[in-house]
Amino acid sequence: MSEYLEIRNITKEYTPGKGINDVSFSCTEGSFTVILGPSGAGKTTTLSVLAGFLQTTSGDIVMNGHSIRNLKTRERNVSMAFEDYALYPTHSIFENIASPLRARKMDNETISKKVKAIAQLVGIDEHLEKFPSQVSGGQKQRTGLARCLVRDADVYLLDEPIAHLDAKLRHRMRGEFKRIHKELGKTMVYVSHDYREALALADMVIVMNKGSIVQIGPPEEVFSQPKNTFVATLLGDPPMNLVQFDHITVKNGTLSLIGKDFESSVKGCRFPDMKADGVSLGFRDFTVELVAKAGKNTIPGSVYVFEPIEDQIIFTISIAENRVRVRTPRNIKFDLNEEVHIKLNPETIHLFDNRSGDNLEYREE
Amino acid sequence: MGQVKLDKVWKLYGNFEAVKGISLEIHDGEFVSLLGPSGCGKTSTLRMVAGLEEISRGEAYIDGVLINNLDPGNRHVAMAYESYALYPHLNVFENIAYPLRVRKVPNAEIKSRVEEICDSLGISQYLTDFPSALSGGAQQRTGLARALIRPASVYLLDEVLSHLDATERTMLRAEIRRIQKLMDLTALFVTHDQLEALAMSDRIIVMNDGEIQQIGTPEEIYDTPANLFVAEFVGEPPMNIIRIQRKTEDRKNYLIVAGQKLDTAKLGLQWIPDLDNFFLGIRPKNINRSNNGIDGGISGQVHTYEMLGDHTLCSIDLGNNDLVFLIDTFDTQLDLDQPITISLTPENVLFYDMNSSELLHR
Amino acid sequence: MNREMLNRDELARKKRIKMILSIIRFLLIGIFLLIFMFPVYWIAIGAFKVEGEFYNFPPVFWPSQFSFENFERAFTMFNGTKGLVDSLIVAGANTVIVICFGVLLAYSMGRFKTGGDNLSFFVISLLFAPPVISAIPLFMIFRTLSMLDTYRVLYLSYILFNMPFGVWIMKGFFEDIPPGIEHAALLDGYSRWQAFRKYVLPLAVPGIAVTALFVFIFSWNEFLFALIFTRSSVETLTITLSGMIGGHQIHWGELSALSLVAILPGIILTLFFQKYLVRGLTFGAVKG
Repeated sequence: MSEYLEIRNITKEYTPGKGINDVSFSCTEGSFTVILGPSGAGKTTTLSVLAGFLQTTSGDIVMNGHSIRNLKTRERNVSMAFEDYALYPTHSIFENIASPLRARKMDNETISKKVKAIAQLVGIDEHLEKFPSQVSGGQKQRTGLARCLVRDADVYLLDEPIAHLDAKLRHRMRGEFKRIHKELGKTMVYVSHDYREALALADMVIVMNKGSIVQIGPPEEVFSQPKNTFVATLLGDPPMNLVQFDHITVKNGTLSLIGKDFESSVKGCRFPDMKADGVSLGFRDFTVELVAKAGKNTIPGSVYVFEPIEDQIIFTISIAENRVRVRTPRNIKFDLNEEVHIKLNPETIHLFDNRSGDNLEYREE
Repeated sequence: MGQVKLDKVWKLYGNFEAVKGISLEIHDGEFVSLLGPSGCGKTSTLRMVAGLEEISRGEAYIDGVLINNLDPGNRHVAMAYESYALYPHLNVFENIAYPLRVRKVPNAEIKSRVEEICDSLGISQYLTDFPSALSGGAQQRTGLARALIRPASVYLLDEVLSHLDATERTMLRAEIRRIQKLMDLTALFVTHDQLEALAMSDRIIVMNDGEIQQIGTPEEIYDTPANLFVAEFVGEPPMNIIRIQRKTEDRKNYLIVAGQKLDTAKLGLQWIPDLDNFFLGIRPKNINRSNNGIDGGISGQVHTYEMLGDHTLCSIDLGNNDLVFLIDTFDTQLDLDQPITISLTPENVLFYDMNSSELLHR
Repeated sequence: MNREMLNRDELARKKRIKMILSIIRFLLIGIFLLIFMFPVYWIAIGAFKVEGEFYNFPPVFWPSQFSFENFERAFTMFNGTKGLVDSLIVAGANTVIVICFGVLLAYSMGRFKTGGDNLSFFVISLLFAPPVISAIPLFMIFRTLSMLDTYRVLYLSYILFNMPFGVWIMKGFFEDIPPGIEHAALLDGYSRWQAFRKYVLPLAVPGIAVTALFVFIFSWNEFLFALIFTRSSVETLTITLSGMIGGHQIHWGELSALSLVAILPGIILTLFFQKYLVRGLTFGAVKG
């Protein structure tokens, strides 16, 4: 598949420390790309640059083989849905959705047909006569989405389009997006701070932090092979657990962990032989087990607190200075401050450098 | 000592009935949550216990003493607020020390007690900072420390986690639970977040429309919701509620689900209600998936699915636009609109009355 | 049970205190209302009195019969008709000019920060100085241009204080309109001007209406410039009214009648624009 949209070394500076720095990525035609990051990561700035609201300081944007960097917003064939909806309060839902078609001077019949079709797709067709102030937040969001999708654009930009919905509706809309994308088959760039949206929707995830790209990869890869502790803790709820050790060695697949007042070892690891100081061990809450007695591949700790959630219990375990969270079935019972052991799965653990946060495996490459 | 008892307590605002004659008891050392959507009367209830709202009708007791006409200061309650309510002109130490200063506690004792509570809440390094310089989490910890610094019969926590970001919320949630357990405090916690209620409580009181819907342990609330409101409010994603029609042919019972006729014996159900129409409730985790048609299976199409790292959340269209959610292992391979057969774990199936929406028992 | 009785007494006492407090509150409001509304009442009632009733003691609070003679004389003998028409022409023309140019200036300053902080400060600083400072220089300029005693001289000179005021108020309204709406319109395929006309301007209507109301009333009430820059061919209401206070006689009846007419447009316009004065209408569409 060809590269349809290419962003080449884009830099945009507002004031020092703000904006985006040397951002490059590309999207294949018909793909769904999610830009994931916390607030202030530069996600919306990246979209604004693509839409042409902001001029870049340097770099180039190539769409379908042509540079669009110097084109005005309305000369670029891009469409966008906004986080704050940006609906026209003085116009009905119908007219809001019809706006891009009216700008193209389409005849009323075509407009009516297209608006109704897209309104049905996003599920807002019963409210077309109402005004934005008369519908709920979720319906406003759907209207914004319909206005974005109603016309034939080269790229659709979606800025946190479901961020303001409640959890249950958000969850349903994630599903709708997958269907809408499949039905329309268009290139979409989607900005989000919620890792669930990235995992659920993306063909390709771009993780951003402080104006720079941290990792690009398919969702499974970003989730299971995070490039550093930032990515490891951004994805997952609870985030990946990190336990700090003073010193580690790996020899023939056996990882020896030396902490302040305890030592452990894990056999059967995939890591190459190495020695390192100041390393964090990372593991996800659902990949480990909680056991009463020390054994193979266990590290010791004590119960800090436990919380029953739905049909599981989340144990927070103290390991020296570190707190980690472990999910267990409901029948596992330990008391506050009781000594327990965490049984690690050697295949799903990670090692990160304490200072830089980098994943040691990536550094070896 | 820490017991709270409400006996048919009402809260009226003019003609509006915010709380409609609720009765409840909180036992010594218990962590009880009032859970419900906004406007359900949970905050009014808490404020009546605190003495910030007048009790319109009914009686409230703390440690066996009628508190209806006691000033808030005489009720032996301490409270932490959603919006922190810190004194902006006092630093963290003075904010926390304030309830003790009001009670003329000697300086040396104030110092040692403030330091102790700050240590357990992890805000020792902020003692000389002013509230405006702190993160939301640290501000709320200060608010909690101010509530916990003095002995009280019952600690009232009003949506204390609502304004915090996700990471701080999970951290503070665990710490409140630990302190409450270690210090054996009696606490009444108001929240709209079902996850917080499940994680922290010994017992949960679910409220809606000014009335109590169910009182029970987190397990009871989650496993056997007393009515459809509780069933749909607790759990993420919510419980699947499926409309069922019952038919009897040749002395065999059949359930009609979305137009599909299913043999109750093959579904493995021990008991079904003696009604023609009712709702079936089942948690997404208790639905299993198989690609080939099996006995007692319900067929449908994959509406959509999301792989969420450790699990896959899938919604199934049973043919009448009724979506059923199911949770599957993370490595599931699925396609949109793929035909699929699902089966229910019989022991987790619940039935609800169509008119009263109450749970139906054998 | 004794305790319950105590509770009941306590509740009854609280209720009594509440009632007494609310009575005091309404009494105070009533007294202030009386003080502030009395002059308006006095003018209104004076317009219908006959000559003698102004000098009676005790004063006449309700005329024995309502007479329309004062209105008749005010409009015939005292040139009231010309005053009314001229005021309408001057205030109307000034409002149109200030709004038409002010909207563009305010939008450009509010959205694109045109002129930066300096222009912003210059505009607001024009409001700090009392208009009388510019009266002499303006007089000399207008005399050189042979514009004295024309309609133009008034509606142009009123720009001096109405334009900065109007721009300042409308700039605030435009700043409140989220830029996302224009971005959306640009993406929809409209030009800047089209986006402004089709989606931004309708949103600013409440702000523009309120501004127009104030600008009109300021022009309508203006006295100083009208006194200095005009003589006989243009005579606004304020000038007509002041003419009724003569050297040896004050025509109280006619003065009251014409004053009553003069305050009517303000009241009518305020009622008409009331729904715009409440700004709730617009901002529902951006974030729920």
